[in-house]
Amino acid sequence: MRRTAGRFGIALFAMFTLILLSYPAVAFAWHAAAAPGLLSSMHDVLTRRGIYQGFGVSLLLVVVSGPLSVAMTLLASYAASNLSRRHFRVFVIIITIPLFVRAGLVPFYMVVRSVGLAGSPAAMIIPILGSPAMVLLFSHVFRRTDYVTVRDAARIDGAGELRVLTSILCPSSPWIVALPLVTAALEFWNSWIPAFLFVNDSRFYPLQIVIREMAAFSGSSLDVGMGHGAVSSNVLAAAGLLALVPSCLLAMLIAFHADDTIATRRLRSK
Amino acid sequence: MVVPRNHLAWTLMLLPFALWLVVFAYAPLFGLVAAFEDFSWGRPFVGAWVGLRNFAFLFADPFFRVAAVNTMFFALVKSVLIVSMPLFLAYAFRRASRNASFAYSGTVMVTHFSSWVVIGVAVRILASPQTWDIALRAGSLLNSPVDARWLFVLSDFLKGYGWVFFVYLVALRSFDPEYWEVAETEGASTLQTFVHVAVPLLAPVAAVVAVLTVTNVVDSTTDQALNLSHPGIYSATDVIGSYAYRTAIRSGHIARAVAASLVETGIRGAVVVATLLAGMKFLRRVR
Repeated sequence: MRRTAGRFGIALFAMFTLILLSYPAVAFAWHAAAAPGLLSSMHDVLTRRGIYQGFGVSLLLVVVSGPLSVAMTLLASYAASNLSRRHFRVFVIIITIPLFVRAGLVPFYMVVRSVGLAGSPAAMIIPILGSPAMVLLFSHVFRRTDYVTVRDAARIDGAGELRVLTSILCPSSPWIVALPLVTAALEFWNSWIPAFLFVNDSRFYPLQIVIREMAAFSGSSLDVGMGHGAVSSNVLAAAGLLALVPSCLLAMLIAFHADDTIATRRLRSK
Repeated sequence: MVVPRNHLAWTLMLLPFALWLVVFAYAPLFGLVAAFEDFSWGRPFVGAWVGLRNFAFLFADPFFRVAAVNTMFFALVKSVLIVSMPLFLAYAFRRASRNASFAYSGTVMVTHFSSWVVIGVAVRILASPQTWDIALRAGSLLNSPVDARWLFVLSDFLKGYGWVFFVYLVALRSFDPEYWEVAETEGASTLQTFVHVAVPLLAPVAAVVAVLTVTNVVDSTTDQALNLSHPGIYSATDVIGSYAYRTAIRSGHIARAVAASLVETGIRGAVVVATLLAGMKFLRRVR
């Protein structure tokens, strides 16, 4: 009896958090579906110039910067994995420091402005192109004995360094390209600070900035003490729903593929 | 057989990332020296030395003191909630079917993978009385400093919860189920199994999660404040990051803003070190 009550309590708590945690999607869908209806709101969003332009800029950022970021990460990880043990330890310390010690928004603004990127669309790409966390992860992966054996065998057979990386190591597991690609794609899709600080031309605004601007001008309908404007909350909610799509896909992808990793680990341990 | 080594190729492969690291990860850290200088855009990193003058201005400003207290409050409360709460539910889900547990974690992770712009709009919609069609208060929850403070804590907790839950769930499902079965056969209750079996097993994972969460929570709060805060609730929700943004970009006092960033870096560092020490102590106790 006690056990059943406990299970019921857990199920209730799980349902509660599920409802709470799906609040953005629920709030957006609810608002977008209010009169004149979800389809009408989505149609309104997709035909607004600012929004589809922002959607296009965000998509372009993901398509251009994602592969660039993956290339930079994998090249650096592969090169670092060849370092001697002592040098590798120094390398690990150097790339771990920025993970925990960050200067904040203003020194970042000073540096980007000093290197002449302010005002250019490149400011949305270059400052967030690198990922020390991914380099740290993959440089350790490439130092695993199985990878080192395959790599050395390929070198003895005359393969160049780039060929070893692109034709032997990368195809050995889909995660080697997929993980940094998906992470970088999401990073660029969600990124708004560089565009907010450095981009003045509204033609280059990504979707996140377009939504932010819309939210700032819909004060009358959302009652948060901001300005008044013509954007209805239905349209704002529909735009939010659009921006949530990649996050939903990634969350589901990671959640369902994690089990394969766990199953593999269990098999190895037996 | 001697394996050929191509140092030139390795150097060329590492070069783009090394350059990026120096310019966009380390140069901002060196830029913090501007907190002690008279800043000018002509010579951004080598201005005239003014010692602690910028800090004196900063600490004389009541808005900064409020922002500093809020930063520490949010860092502590949010970190404790985000690290501890998902532990219980992940434990409850350890035996749920694959589809149920991963569908649940997939849904609760959506907020983690979304930006503060999108989450901010959702919070505004939900905080507005117009959404609920009721007149409980004069305005939105985001117009009252006390309500807004707890709304900030709740919304950031909900944003971080999903990912931490998922990490705990993956870790728990990778342990051999015999751990739980043996404890239950010996007559341990669910709570006893949780405290004496699950917590010691999860302690190293929780320690890593705690350090990562604490590191990110200060930045996350700045993003949150830039999207949700407004002058009416600054007393409860303004943090050093948003204060520095206003001081530097809107008012043009770059050196003062850098001094504020340095204080923020110090607070972040102190909280990370405290978490590390607490984590090590906790690990020693449970092992």
